[in-house]
Amino acid sequence: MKKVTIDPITRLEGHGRIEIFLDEAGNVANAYLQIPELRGFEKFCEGRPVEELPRITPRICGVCPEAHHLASTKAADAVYHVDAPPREEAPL
Amino acid sequence: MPKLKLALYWAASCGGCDVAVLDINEKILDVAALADIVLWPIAMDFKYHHVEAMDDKSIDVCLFNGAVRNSEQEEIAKLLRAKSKIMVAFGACACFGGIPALAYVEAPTNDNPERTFPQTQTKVKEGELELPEFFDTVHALNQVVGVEYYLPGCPPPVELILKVVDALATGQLPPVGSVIASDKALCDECLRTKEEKRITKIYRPHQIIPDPQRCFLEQGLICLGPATRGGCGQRCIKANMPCRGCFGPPPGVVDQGAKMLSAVASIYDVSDEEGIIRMVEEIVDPAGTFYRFAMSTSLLERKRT
Amino acid sequence: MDDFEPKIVGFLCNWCSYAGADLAGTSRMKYAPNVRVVRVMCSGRMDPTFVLKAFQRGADGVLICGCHPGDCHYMEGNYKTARRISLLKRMLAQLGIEDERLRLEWVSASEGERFARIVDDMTKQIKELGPFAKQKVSGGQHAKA
Repeated sequence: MKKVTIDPITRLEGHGRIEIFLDEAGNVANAYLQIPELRGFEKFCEGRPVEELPRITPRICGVCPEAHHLASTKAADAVYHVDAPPREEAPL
Repeated sequence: MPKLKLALYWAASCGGCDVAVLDINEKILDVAALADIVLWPIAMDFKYHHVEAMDDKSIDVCLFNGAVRNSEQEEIAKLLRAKSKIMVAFGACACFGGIPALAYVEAPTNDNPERTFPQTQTKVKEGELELPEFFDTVHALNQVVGVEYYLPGCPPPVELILKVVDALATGQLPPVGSVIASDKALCDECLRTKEEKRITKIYRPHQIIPDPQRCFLEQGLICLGPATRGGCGQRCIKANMPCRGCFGPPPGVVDQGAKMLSAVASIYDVSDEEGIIRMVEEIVDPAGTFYRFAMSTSLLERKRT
Repeated sequence: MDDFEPKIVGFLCNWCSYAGADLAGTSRMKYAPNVRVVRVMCSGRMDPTFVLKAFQRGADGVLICGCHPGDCHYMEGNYKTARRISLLKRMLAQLGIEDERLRLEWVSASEGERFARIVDDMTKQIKELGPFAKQKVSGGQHAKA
């Protein structure tokens, strides 16, 4: 089967490649999205102190680091059973 | 003056270094005036075959971010090295391995009893799919290809990125092998009061509210300042958070983690067995803390398998 | 691995441990020949970087000997060593390096016999553990085993 490859996919965050298989008539038989990268955050975050995660997880994505930072901060708050202080009381 | 050819590429990265380039805001127009960008996956639709078609050394500068940990990233690093006059290791991952190199530190559950690994060839109904070979090594860029300049940081600060742009615009390049940052440790530019470094307890950052004027280490909070190159504008310190070493080791230091470990053990003032056991227990994750960003270029380079 | 002979680098402090090792020699004691001795003025000179460098350069084990607590020629050097090496062992464990490969002992100038026994013991332990060099790694053409 004829194969059309788009490598790399662009203008988004992340690595990707698309393989499109065409049948004899030239129509798309199937298309596959492949992700040729793996860094392993799910594993190497294990064993790290929970209060360090808000400084590690933002490196999952440089376009949306705030989302990861907030998610891990909220998770740490939940682990320690605390609520964020009201804004007026924040030390900074 | 003909426009320079500029390539930006990412390997095992998060995209933050590419976003940092955009953080130079309106100065990106100066870059556009100065250079034609011939590869930049996050922003432009050039493909690998475009790069393969270029002449060797036709790209003036390649800003390469991200660590190298699969065969495709290694291949593209080599391709770009062949096509580029100057390679810049851009960001902590390309310079030292960065956060992805934390993969070396043993996680509590690294078991993989069925040996599930990404496969390089997969048969599907229509044909065959290929994936790059996944390495269990996380390389810094200079462990795979030759590198002319290093721009550390996670991400590199705007001021230093502009220094690079400036050097390219004026043609006044620093000596090959330079790290585009300060030549001193972070402590030199840190504005906190430093008195005597002698502690008897180490706190985890959430256990105390740090005094914003005093050195973190003197308050019992681990700060990698002494073992980290300066030049970042002490941005974390100003936010009342201790340094975690994203600028890598200072000049003259090869192994950032070992040096920082030595510094912390030196200032912790106990001499009895009990005290030493207590100290080791208070430092909950030495490998993950002292080698947060620079495991790949440490002397051990990787964990034992 | 019957023919594996461990390479152990020994950092011995000038005032106590090196003298103790010397005594083992002048007394014609027989003990394992696997330790290569580097004399340092004080065990406190031991930068953890030296330990890592030894492993990087092919050592299977590192032995550090200093004066007994309270006897350091420079007063506090050996306390610093104790702190640094304890923390280093903890960090190396996180990187898959067995505890037995890095050993810290206090050896006085009169303890020649003790030094010999320490070397015999450590050589035996490392023989059982095997060489330090990693087995199989994948990293493309640039992986270091």
